[in-house]
Amino acid sequence: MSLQKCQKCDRPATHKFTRILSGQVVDFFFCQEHAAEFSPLQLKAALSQNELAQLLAGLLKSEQGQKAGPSDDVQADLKCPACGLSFRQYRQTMFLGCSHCYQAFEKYLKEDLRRYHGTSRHCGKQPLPAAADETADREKVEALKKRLALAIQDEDFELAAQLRDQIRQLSAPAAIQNPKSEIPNR
Amino acid sequence: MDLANVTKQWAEPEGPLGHVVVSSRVRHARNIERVSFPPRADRDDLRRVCDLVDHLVRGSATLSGFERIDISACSTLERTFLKESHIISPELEQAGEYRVLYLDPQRSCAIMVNEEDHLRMYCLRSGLQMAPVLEEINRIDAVMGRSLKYAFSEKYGYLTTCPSNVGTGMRASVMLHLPGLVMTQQIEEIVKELPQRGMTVRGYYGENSEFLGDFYQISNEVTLGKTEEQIVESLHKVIEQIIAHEESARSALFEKKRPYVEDTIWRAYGQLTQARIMASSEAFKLLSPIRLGIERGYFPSLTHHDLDHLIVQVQPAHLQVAEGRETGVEDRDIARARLLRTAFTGKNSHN
Repeated sequence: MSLQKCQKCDRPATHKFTRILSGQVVDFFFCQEHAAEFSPLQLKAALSQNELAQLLAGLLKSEQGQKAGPSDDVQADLKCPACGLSFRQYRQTMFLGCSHCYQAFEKYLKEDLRRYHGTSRHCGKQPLPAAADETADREKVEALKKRLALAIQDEDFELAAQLRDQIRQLSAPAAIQNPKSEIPNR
Repeated sequence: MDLANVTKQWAEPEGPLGHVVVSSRVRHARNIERVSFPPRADRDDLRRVCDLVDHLVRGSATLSGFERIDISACSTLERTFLKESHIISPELEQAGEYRVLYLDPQRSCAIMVNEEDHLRMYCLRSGLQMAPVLEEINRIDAVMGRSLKYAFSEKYGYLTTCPSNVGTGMRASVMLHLPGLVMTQQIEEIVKELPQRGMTVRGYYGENSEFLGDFYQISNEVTLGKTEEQIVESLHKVIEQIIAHEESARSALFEKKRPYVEDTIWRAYGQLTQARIMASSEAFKLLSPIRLGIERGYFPSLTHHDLDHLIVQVQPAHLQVAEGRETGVEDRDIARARLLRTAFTGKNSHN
């Protein structure tokens, strides 16, 4: 593999991708940079943790050499107060250390979330407290209302409409008698 | 560990649309609040997770029938055996402390402890059965979630070690056998199109594994911003379309290229019944056309499910467990060829 050159530039190829084209197995050879371009969603999968670390270290270095801004330093030095994981360590492995990391790195993580998922807001199920009794339903409705307010604030009307429907399902009919809603019907 | 007992799910009947769909699976990733995620956890954290889960499973009426298997105490061969059976993930197969598996009596649901996340719970069934599988895993998730405080945020949902799983923490996947699309060279187009529909394609053993024997595992890529039901529904739609494509490809092949397809099937049969040495990759390659032939009635005594079981049985760790000892590659290739000859001819041939 070391004799191969990157198919997009003249640098030595460090990564091989195998794809099935017309039923045939075809190998692609890329340098680290073009490997990431070729398969951005597979960045974690395509590179081993060590290689990824080297790649990111290399990128950080070259960026620092050219246009290092204060934000790069802040990002690199950022640490989770709960588990001590640094943002740099996260980027090396793509693994977070604990649930608090999501808050600690929120500003920068949002980008990753959008890249992976195209959005950064959950709308699936929630852990239910104890039994699904009336109290539990009331608590769930309260939680959903909070999320609805946030969704409206973010002008995410599609999510807001979904949350509104979930609230309606869980609420007693009395609770939905007032249909005055800020959510446009879509 | 009684490995034969662990794999008794093969006694179950074949699932719906078994001619294309090998199995349906839904997996939930969960972590416990205020405990470091497994890659960063120390021994005390990992032990705490094990203790919490063990206490919960023992005390739960729903989960009390689950068998506890201490993966850390298993031999390498046993761990590989469990991976080959798709009971544990390649990640859990790696050695490590405080890794535990809880397996339900029917062998269709399991809870993996201290994998990439504290809990990876899945339900797996033969054929296309997305809705029952989701319902089943949600039932287990509800039991676990009532007693364990999950790491959860209103905004980001279930918090996972890797942000690529955050939100629902759910991966729904379907293993498909697509020889028709491979032979008609349409597979490339389908594989290329799937990421645009939020789906990803993996090989026989999941992430980073090879595409073997025309088996393709299709799953949701996106876990955030959609409900569990929406994810399953979109995957289901995609799968239905692929099944329809595969069926037309097979029909076209048998209509227009029958001699070619029949030759592929019967040549494979010839090699499987006569070969004395067979590598694992070759077995995959030859068993694929046989699976296609089963649908067309060429092998009336075999079901697709039997063939899927046979594929698992000829994997390296399964062969060694059957032999009762660890063996080298050459011995395994000989044992594999013998097992396949016996399976297809019904005779225990040694010559």
